[in-house]
Amino acid sequence: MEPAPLRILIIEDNAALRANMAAFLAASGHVADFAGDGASGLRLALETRPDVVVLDLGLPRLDGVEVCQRLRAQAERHVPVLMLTARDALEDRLRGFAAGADDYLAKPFAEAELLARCQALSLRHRAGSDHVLRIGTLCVDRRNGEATREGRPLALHRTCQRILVELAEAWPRTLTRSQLVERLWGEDPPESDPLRSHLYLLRQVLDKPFAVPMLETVHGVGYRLVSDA
Amino acid sequence: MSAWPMRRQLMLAFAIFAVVVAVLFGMFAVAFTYAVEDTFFENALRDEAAAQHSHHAASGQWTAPRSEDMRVYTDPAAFPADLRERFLEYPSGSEFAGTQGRHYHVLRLAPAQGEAAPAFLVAEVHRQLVVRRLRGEMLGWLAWSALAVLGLALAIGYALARRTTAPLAALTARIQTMRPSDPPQALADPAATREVGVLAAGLEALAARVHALIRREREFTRDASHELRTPLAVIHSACERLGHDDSLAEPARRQVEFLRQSVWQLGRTVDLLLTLAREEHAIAPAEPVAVLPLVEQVVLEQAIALGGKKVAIDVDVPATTRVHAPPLVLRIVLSNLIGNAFAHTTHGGRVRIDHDGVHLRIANSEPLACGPVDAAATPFAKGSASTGWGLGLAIVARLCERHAIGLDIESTASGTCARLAAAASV
Repeated sequence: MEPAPLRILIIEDNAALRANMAAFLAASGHVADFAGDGASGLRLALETRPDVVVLDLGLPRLDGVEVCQRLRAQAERHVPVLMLTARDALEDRLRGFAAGADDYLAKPFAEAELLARCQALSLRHRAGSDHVLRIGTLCVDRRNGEATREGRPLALHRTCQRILVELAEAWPRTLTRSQLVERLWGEDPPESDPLRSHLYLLRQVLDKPFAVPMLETVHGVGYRLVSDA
Repeated sequence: MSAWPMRRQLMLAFAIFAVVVAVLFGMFAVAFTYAVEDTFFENALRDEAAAQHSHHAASGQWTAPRSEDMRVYTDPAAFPADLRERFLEYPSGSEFAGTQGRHYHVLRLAPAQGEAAPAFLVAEVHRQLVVRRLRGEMLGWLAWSALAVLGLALAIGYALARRTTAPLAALTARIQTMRPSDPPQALADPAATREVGVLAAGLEALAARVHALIRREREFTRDASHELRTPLAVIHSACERLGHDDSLAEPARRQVEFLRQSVWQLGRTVDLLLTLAREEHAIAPAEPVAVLPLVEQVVLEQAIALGGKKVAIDVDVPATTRVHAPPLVLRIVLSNLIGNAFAHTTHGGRVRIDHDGVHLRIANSEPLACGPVDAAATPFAKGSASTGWGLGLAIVARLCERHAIGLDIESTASGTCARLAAAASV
């Protein structure tokens, strides 16, 4: 899964925020379209077929919830929608999800998190069409867990394969240790620290033979893959 | 507050009153009957005594009484055995119960002084005891009457209680179905008594006020959220843009970082204030929360507070630890405590988060610079590294207090430790 440029439609009425997001997305190599109100945002979403729509909740002319509902009703395919809003009450979030939003991010937000969520939504949308996840030179087949890096097969046992698939599917986000344990062993994990030895083995195969490590420990509580490209 | 409804209490009061009145009047009736009977015997004895006195005055002898149930005795020793026994025990008495149903009335006959020894006129009256024969029947009638009165009292009590409490019961039913989020409904009932009407009107006004308060709270928090977060998002985004600008000189870059930290702090303060203000959070129910996954998630979210500093983060919380608390509240409290620890730990420092079986401890290697430890939870007390306005911990303390989560903060020269105590979940 090469971090392919995404086509992101930002529907946001605050001009300063739009300008900053434009600069950030351009610097990250993505293509962004912008709309300052709900009606033109809906029109652009239907016409330009973006990979992800970042939709503000409080918009002039057409409210964000209404835009999302109409998009769901009128679009020929599912367009992932990330609600970006300054309202964070439970009621507002539930309204957003009820209208068909896929994810929710409250203002103020970190640009890196916005981008990570957009990429995750885009991947989730493409999940059914591509069984092989590519991150830099790493390729992971989500069906059987087989992986290659720089074209060389990685000899991983079953648990390491499952860890790698989970991290690749979450990329570029970080998975906490608890999330990984829960996804691998459910409610009944092994007694002792179950991840430690498996992650050691994974690093031996995934990182040690190569110049750039890809498996990164995040603040001692989580793990993520970083692209080597 | 009594567990019995008012209708039942009123009926019980009526029933007790009716029974007491019936028993009291029954006792009076029986006592009156006996008194009348005794008066009849006493009058008969007095008539006979008068005749005896006349005869004695004329002849110096006592004569045989006119009634065959009466006799004159000149010596108590000659009394019938059962009467003699009782009379010797109580010589001044005038009425004595004998054996085998016999009953005696005794009257002293006193001739003119010095003429003769006193004698005793004795009437054995058991054949004339009408009350004794009728007593069973009379008590039966009294009992039936008492039951009838009791039934009548219950019926009247029920009717009166129903009439009195029906508007109150209807009002209670309407209040039980009311929810703070529902629009206020009319509570006053035109058929209600004046008192219930006043109560309903008062409650109606109160409900309308509560509803208006909740609506204002929601509008306020929604507006505050929007109006504060949008400019914060713009400033945060601008700081991030400037942070990536390679042409920026180092002093300017430092100022941008200060700005970014302040915006982050302000965002957390907005979260806290809105959480305190929102009614949905005030009534958030406690439920079992797994601590480790939450701590790990919060560490990742709050890592922005590290601002690029190298800080060792050590999380040692058993995966099985669960506490009983409202999940969102616990998340906000942890976000603030862990975020504070990250923000106040200098480059090369350490933050340790562990659980000692009772407390979740968040410790860092920096002492609080705000003086006394209690000051950490005092509004506007702040550490030297704080970029906030010193309100954060005070609000966290209030949030913890509201949801029964223990919080204490200990600061020594070697560092600061916040200890959270939520009820363990089994």
